Amino acid sequence: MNLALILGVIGTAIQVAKQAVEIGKDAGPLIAAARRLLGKDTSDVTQEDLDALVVLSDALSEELMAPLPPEEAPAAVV
Amino acid sequence: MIRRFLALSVVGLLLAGCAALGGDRSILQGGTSITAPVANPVSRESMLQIETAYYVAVRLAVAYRRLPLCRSGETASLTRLCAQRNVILALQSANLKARFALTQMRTFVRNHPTINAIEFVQLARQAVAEFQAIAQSSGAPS
Repeated sequence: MNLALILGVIGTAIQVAKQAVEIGKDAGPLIAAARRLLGKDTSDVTQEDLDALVVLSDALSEELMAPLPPEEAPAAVV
Repeated sequence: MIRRFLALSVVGLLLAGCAALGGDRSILQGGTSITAPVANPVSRESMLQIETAYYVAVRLAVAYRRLPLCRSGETASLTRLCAQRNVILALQSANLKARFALTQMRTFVRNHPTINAIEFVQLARQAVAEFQAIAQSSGAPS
């Protein structure tokens, strides 16, 4: 089975790369990681493929862990 | 002098015997050799399972995080999808634990390729499963 298709790697890579560019970070490693996983079969995974997956997970995790903005006032009741 | 030579010869023969009796197999794998290398019983497939499970969970959590934040007192509905602060905080906390366990597992496997990493793998699997459960119940758009 194709790993990149199962995990939706392309969509994720585009999103996280876009986020990276927006905050002035280098999106190169994310794109390289996604390219590495393209066409990769789940039965033939190397340590480098696992490392590529970790690069994408790390980028997602960073986005999740960003601090929340201050709380807004309650919605006004009309 | 002769005694020392004999003693050394006996030790040498014993060590050679240990290496030969078990063939290539280590005592940790049912053999008798104390010098044979042991392949890590944690396979790349099990590492892949855990890493993909984490990837799926964190992707779902980020999808939830990208929703507009609910105002205080507001709850998400079908007509107004929003992310609750407390759910994001729970996701962040579970993610921290999962990442800690994953880092420990990766480091151990990388630094000790011939020692059984099953304990680290089980801890990572459990932490990822807890994170996944929160991410799946968050109501994130998939």
